[in-house]
Amino acid sequence: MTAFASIPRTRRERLRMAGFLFVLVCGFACTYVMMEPYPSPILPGFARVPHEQDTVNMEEPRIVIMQDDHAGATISAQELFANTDNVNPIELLRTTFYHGQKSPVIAAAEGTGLYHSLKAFRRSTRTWFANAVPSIARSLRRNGSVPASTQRWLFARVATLRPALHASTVRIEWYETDATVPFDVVEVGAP
Amino acid sequence: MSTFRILLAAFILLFAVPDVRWVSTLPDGMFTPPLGPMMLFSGVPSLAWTSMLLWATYACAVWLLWGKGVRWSGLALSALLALGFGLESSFGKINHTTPFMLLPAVVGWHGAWRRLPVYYVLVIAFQFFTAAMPKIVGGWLQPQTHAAYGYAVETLTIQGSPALLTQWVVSYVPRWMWELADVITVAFESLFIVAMWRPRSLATVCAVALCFHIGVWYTLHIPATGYIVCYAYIWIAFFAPHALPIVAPQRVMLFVLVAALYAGIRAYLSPTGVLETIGIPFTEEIENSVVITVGGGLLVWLFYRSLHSPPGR
Repeated sequence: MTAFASIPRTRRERLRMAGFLFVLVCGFACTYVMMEPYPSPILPGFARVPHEQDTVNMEEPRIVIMQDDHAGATISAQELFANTDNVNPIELLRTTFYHGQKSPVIAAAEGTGLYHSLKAFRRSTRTWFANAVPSIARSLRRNGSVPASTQRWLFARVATLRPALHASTVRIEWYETDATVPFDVVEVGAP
Repeated sequence: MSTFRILLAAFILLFAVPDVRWVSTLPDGMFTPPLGPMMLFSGVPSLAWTSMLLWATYACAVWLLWGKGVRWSGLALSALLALGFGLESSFGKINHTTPFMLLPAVVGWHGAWRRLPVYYVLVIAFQFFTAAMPKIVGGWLQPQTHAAYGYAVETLTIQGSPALLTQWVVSYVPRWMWELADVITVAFESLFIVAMWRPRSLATVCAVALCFHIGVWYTLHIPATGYIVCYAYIWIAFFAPHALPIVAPQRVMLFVLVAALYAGIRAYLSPTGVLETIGIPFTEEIENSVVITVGGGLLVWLFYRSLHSPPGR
């Protein structure tokens, strides 16, 4: 007897399965309306299309260590988060040191009209929920503000990675592909 | 299923227990838990807490391997895996491990509830559906976009961790093949939920999914190691419930000892790089490649064989 014999045939079983499917759909709807819950039966959509008409649009971070207002050295996100496991360093950097506004080129290039409408809808419902339920606001922080504990951690990490430097500021700069001017900069001063 | 349960527990013990001690090295300011139970944490848990979680997960994996009270050991292991993966996912990006972390509980309760495999496949099929919808809306099917190509270039340049074939595929694969890859990806992800209701189509879509995971690993460097085990469960539950031989208790003992030894070495030596410095390439990269290529390849063959002798409904 295989599991196929148990595919629902009775009305009760069909109802049960429909209920289960409804729960799955609710999780997906929550992801689209507000944010992805955990745990949930969702796979990453990779909805952003980074390539269009022979151009690959990407956002590249650079972590610049400033010494008395001049750039002393750079470190990569991979170096900064070398002691982590099973997480993407770029995503970690984006969550922590980013103002939340995508590069204009990428925002204009990606997705269909429906995609943009859904994103705008999601952004507004997120803001509404964050205002209504303060504990959610913590999960949505992408406004470039850097908490004191992160500031202390960042400078301790820089001191470990580049002991010869005396950092006054750490700049996290975000560039579009091949651009020379960053579209977003988060500056973290020494604690 | 008891043999599969032993193999699953050994696999978790060897490869999949999330070592979340690194979480404690990050500051509270970075802790951004996703919507759900992880929001109950007020900040990053202490090192003692994460170490306890690690060893409790190992203990539960050994308990499941041992075979006493498999329903409860399966549930406990699933809960601890969910907690571990949840902590890892509390820094901005969720790792999508739901089917894998559910598997110990599903295997534990398999004997008690005959319909469980159908619900389990439905979860995986629905997951693929949730991946297809954003792609369609995002513009993957538009002929002027080559989304997979864009992600391959991003893996090569920005992520800093290209896979074995990333450079080659970016350089030599023509654009029309990238577009084809986009279309095939969207098609297979949307059709899984339709295909899961018939033996032949389920076997086909699982084989395609495995090829997809192998391809994604070698081009975009996204590991789906846990999913390989999920497909193994599907194959056994749906197509070959009596395929695995029953293992004698003495051999289980041997399994426990070998698995515990390997897990100990992995937990203590690998993160510090001791094995790498003495010239032993003991990395997750090799583990992932072996599991995805060998396990995935074997399962593709088994699903293909099932196409010729599928079970009747």
